[in-house]
Amino acid sequence: MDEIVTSIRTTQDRDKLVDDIAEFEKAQFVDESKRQMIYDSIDRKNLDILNSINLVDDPEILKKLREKILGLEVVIISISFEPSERTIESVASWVRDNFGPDTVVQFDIDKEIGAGAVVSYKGKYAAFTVEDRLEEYIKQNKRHIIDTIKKGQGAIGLQ
Amino acid sequence: MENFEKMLKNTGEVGYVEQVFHSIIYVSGLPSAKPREVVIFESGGMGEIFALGTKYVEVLMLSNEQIPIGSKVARTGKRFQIAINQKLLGRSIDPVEVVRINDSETDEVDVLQSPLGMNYRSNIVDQLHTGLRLVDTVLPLGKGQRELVIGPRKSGKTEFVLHTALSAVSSGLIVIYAAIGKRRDDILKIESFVDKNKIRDKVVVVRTGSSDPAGRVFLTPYTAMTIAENLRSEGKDTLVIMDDLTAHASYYREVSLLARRFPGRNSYPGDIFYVHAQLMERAGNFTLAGGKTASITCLPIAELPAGELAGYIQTNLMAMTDGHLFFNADIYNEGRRPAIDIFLSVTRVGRQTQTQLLKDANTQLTKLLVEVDGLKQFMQFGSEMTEDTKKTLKQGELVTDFFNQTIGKITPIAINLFILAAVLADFWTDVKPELAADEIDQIESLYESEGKYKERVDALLADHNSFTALIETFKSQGDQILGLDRKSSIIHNEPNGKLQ
Repeated sequence: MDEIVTSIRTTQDRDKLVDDIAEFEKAQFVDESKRQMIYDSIDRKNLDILNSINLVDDPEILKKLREKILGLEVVIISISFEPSERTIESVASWVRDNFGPDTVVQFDIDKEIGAGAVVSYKGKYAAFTVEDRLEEYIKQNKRHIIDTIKKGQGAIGLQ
Repeated sequence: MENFEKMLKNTGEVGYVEQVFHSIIYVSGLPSAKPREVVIFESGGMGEIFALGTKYVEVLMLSNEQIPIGSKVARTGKRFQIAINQKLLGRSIDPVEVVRINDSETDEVDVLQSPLGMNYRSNIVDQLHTGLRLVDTVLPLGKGQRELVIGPRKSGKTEFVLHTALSAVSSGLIVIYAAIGKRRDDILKIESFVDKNKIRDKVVVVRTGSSDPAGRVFLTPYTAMTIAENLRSEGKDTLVIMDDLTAHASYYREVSLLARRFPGRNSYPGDIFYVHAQLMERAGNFTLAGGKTASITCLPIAELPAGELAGYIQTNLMAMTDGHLFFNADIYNEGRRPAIDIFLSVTRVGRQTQTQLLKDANTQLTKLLVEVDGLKQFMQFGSEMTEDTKKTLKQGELVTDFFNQTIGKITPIAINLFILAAVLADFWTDVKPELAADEIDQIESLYESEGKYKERVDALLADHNSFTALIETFKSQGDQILGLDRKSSIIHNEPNGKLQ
């Protein structure tokens, strides 16, 4: 079961797997021809996972799996762009390493974030954006910036 | 929005709206949220944490905004605080609006404070002049008293409190009027009374309308009391009118039921007594630094459905106040103002503020009115009346007529006492009621306009410690004291300025 859980990277993956489990369960109680039709609607990767489960030994296993999947903690990552497959993979892996194996990523697209990301997990909130760093820099070096502008010294390097 | 982002960064916590159930919002996240803490939504709306659960935080909406599922929520780290400064005087505000008034002179004060303890309290010793003959004489109120104004709809409760507000302002008090979930029409009436009588600069109206969120309506009396407390700390006497606490209890019931709290009697939540008692306890007479005192007098209003005195909220309020003035719809329909039923009204600390003479007058007048009431019931059996009975009934009638007063007309306590002594000395027992009313009006106007007459009346009252003795003086020298000429109704002014 842990392997299945590890394969879920995002909340989209999670929701799809939960839907597929429901379809798979339904398929167990219909005749062969209809079963194949249902299997065709299930994601290939998910179907392979579900077919590998031994339903005879533990009839409750699908229920347990669904509960386990729905109990995963969500780490919300707000970014300003649509993430690529590579980004999803690396962020999901980073989240698992830092927040534990029972976590799943939810990408939240927020165009107001210029560059960087905002992370929230179990109600905790942390913004790692360039905007914040710039603001902080300006706050700390206000005097220096004004003096530099007055003297006309040109570009101000970030410290 | 900028404020929202700032709060998120300051607290390092975020919540997400999961469910919206009327004015209750279920929010996930916010792990360090505290009860009664104010939260803000990313749309700019404001809410207050009502309860903490294992999965969700229950938030009570204070704004009218529609909150979509999935919205972010930020903690503020503060309970509901209002910004108090001198600019509030003369304004008509709603509780959330006070939060938004922001300038450098502003103090932010928590509205849900605990009442001050016994060490800060002192005896109620000064009478609150309501300007109403009946109340000032028979049912006196003290500065710092909590007197429930109770009665059915349309029995003159609001007229009474507005009259008292007018009189209180003329005695130097500041009035805070909490209009709790009122109709816009009613709020306008209150405001137009304030403007018409030119007392706007001494009045703060804290108002919420019937269509405002229940959470905001719930905070209305707390906001009013907090403003009064702030003025008290500056040494100012205040009068807080809460119009009305039965509506307040209904809004709190609505919120509690929506939050799935266990309903108690009449579906009110179990803590409704605590909620109101804590509010009432914030009123009183207080000792300030330097030995000075400042009072918060509170007049909560309670509505009585169908005149039933034994209602849950009504009896709760009776138990936590220092008496109640019962307004009777029958008396109101008879045309008597104020329509207070003196037999069902109580004032627990007001009497201690009266002078010995007033206390004595109070006892005798109450005794007379009780006797007259008993006689009236007995008369229904058609029994023949003795001369004494007729006299007592006539005196009762005169006193009742005298207590009937136009709302908005403030009468000084001294002249009330002076006239009542004349009534009980049978000065008007054998004259037509119209003549009696006419002469009483003349005496009152003379007291207000003629300085010498006023001085003489005040001196006469100062010379007497007992109302019986005052009546005896009237019996022996009534014409001379009153200075009335029956035939022409012209006032005699004594040249030496001495009545006796």
